[in-house]
Amino acid sequence: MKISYNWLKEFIDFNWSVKELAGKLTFAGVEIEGIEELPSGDFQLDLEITPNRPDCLSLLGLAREIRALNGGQINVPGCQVTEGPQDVNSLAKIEVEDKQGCPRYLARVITGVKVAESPEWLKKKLESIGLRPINNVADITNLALYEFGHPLHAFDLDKLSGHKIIVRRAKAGEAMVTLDGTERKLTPEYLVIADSNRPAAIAGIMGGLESEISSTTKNVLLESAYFDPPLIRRGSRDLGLKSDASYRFERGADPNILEQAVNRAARLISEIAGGQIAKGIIDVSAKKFPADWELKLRPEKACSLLGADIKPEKMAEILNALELKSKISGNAINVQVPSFRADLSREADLIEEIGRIYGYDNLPAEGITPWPVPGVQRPREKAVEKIVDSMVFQGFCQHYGLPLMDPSHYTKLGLAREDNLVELDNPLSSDLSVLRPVLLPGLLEAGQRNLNNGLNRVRLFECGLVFAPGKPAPSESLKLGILACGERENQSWDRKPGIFDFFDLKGALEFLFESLKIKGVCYSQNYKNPKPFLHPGRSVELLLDGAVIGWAGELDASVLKVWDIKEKLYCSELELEPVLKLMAGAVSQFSEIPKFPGVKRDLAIMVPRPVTSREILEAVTKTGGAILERAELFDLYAGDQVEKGQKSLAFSLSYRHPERTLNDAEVNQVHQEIVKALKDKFGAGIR
Amino acid sequence: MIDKLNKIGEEAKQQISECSTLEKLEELRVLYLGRKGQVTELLKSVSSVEPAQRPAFGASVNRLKVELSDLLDRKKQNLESASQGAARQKESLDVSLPGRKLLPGHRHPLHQIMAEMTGIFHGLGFTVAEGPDVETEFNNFDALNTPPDHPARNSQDTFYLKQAGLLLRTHTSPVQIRTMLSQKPPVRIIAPGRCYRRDAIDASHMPVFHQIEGLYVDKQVSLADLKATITHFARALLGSKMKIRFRPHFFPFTEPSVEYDFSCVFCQGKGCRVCKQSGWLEISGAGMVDPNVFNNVGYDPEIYSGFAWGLGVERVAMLKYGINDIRHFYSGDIRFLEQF
Ligand SMILES: [Zn+2]
Repeated sequence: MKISYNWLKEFIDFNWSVKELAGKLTFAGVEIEGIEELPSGDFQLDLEITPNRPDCLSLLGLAREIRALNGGQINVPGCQVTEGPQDVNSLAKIEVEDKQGCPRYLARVITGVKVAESPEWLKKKLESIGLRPINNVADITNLALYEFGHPLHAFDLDKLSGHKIIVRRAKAGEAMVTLDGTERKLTPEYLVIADSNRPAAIAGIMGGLESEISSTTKNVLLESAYFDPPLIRRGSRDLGLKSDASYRFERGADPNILEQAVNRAARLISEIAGGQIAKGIIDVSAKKFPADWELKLRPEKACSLLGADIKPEKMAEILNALELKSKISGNAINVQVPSFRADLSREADLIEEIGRIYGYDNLPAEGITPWPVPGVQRPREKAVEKIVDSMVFQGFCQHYGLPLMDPSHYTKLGLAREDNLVELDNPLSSDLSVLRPVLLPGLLEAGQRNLNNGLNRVRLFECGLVFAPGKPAPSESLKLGILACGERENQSWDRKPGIFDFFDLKGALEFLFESLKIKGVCYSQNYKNPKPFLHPGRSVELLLDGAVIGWAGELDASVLKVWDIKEKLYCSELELEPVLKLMAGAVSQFSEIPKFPGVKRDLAIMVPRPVTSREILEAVTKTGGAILERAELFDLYAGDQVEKGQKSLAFSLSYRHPERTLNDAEVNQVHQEIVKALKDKFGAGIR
Repeated sequence: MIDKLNKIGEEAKQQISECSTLEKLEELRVLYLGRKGQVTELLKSVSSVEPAQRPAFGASVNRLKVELSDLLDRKKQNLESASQGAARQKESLDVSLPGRKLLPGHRHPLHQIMAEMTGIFHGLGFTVAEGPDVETEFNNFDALNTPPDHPARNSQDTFYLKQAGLLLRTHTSPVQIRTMLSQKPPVRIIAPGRCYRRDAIDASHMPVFHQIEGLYVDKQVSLADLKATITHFARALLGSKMKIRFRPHFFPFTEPSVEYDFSCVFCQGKGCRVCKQSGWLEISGAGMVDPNVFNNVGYDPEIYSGFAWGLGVERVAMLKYGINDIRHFYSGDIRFLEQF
């Protein structure tokens, strides 16, 4: 809402500059968003009024705020009218069909007006608040609107068929052209002001072009009504039509200011445009709104809630200045709340009034009540932090992807789009229309973006939520997604970096689980849930305690083609919930540092190719028993130098006894047992 | 004999000083001081000197022997260090070449700032509480005293699921409701989390963003306590000179409600382009928990009071790190991520 500094001063005198005024009002809760100096030397202020304060959408309301902050007298514009002899009821008829949508409807009639340009002072006033003067009658209704905050509407009485107004819902198929020249199709959702034939205005939102005041208008019907706020809000929203009137009605006008507002406008019309005010007001009110209500305020409660020591007398003074008639009575203050403050219905509301006028700047801002229990990281948060730490340590950058996904990304991974997507009812666009069930598409998009940006090395991970349909609500669980491709390490002037491959990915996962102290993760090629987007020979399923927790591997060429990615991509996705459960509360346990020297022996064997290194290592470990501390594969060869169908593997074995030094004989014995076991089990030849 | 001694001495000194290799030097040592060396021979020939002069002659030969031995040692040292120097010279590096660095990963800036914020509140006794991204209309709106026809509830602003009664939470406030429904006061929680609003994507809007919400409920909690808490937070996060201020505002779930501002971090409150010369930056909303909210969760507003505040994580991260476009946070662009 825009207002003028000088015009406001007519309502209440104050000695603040425009900047001071803006500051004072803003810190009392009436925000001034902008100040513009006008050529006349006046200032136009742009106000942002919160939806609970429709009473501030007028100069009178703002004057009350100023009086509460600064004292002074409010000059209320004159509303006394001189009526002619003609009875208004003989000139017009009002019928209200929708009493809920329109609980009060008042009308006055002014006859014999001369519609013309407004006088200079009136035009200037409207221009000072950014309104375009139209004619004297229309301008006066606008003037009264800004003075009292109540929207009025002036009809050309002679253009209302039957000199009659019916407040009713629009009929299906009805239409009308509003003042802005647009044809509006109406439905029974809308409340209209109709004459005996057809709609003449959309109630509380905008008048019709046809019954508009024009230069030929002689007789004016002035409407001053109260409309149901939700009805106006819905209508205005559905029509996409906002006006000064709808803005106020949807926030809630004062149902008891109707007479004052209509009298003010009638008086000005007869003064400026001539004409005679007919005798009486047509008042069709289905409901009587109370003029005020009583609330009890306990000063003690106010002080305790605000954390400030404010005297009851000061509280009463603040409330009285806001026109909330207050009297101290014992330990309480009795407060009469007038109907223009519908936002005040509880003690807490009054406490806010006192707080904002007293000034939040005056509240102390030091000292925090101590708390008996320390705030700590919960086990789950700690566990997630460890996962993030481990990935960052390994050179991965953390990605935050959007949980909203394009469902076609699902099919672009070769997955059938079953009914397993959680769908939005009102997505922004089709590419953000479902909640992601997997992290991979978001990581793929990010990976693609980085490659297109010319990066030689992409390593990303995301710890993010995924969603699955469920009742009563979809389930949400945390997943870890990993994507890597390109150079393995940093470029250097004397070294060519290697290229990230499957074993780098597997190593990253092994490192992750080691750093999380989780044992027993199994990397299996016997898929329980095959993934169409993975290279079947270069991927694994991860199992923890026999349950599948995820997958890892090289993306299949067919998927890379669909996504138009040239590089080989390595990805993994893990369920974190079972991992977090295992980690919860776990604390690292110290084990004794070895005191006695160990013995190292190498073991080189030749086995048929299908034998996996895991099988061999398992056999070695089993046979090695307690004194075999560690067995590691350090060489693998399956080229021309070995017999066809065979491969050569070399292991480094470390033997150690925790309580004494091992002698050669006992090491040799175990070592030979291992050799024998491998021979028996795999037909391994020793080299 | 003395003449011979002098001659040998002169020659030896000359040869040692001209010698340029360690091998040659060793030959000279043998030549003069070896078992059959010239100086050794001189000592042996002492018998041919007149008896009266023998002691003096012997002393002169010994002096020469010591002198030559010293010279040889010194020369040897010189020659050795010269050859080592040459070898080191060969081994020397162009130390101006760049070093080889590890490639570290990076935590997301939002993750970093949320960890920092929760850390500050841990210190004040706040513990993290969580809730799901998919919420009920009740927790997100009704329980928070938001009337059924409130504009924030319409489908222009809020994402609804096809599944009836469910939506993507528009703020972290439903976590307050979940917490209060499940535990008795006193309560001190913070709820960092993802929120959703139906905003088209541009430099300052994303349909997905993060908030941190705080709630403190106990007997006698006041608006001044809220002010003290936010002041402490601002100082811990952005420096001890930070100031905060409250402006009255309106939210359905708090009464009184305020918006709070931080003194501008760019100009220390003097006024600059970022703060539009005001010296202040708008941060977010806060207030005293509305009695209706307490009634909705079964807390007695006559006994308990509390404050709640919210904070947009992206906004604070953008201020703290000087980021000008919110889309960077969700791009996955490594050139962005590796700056933090
Ligand atoms: Zn600034």
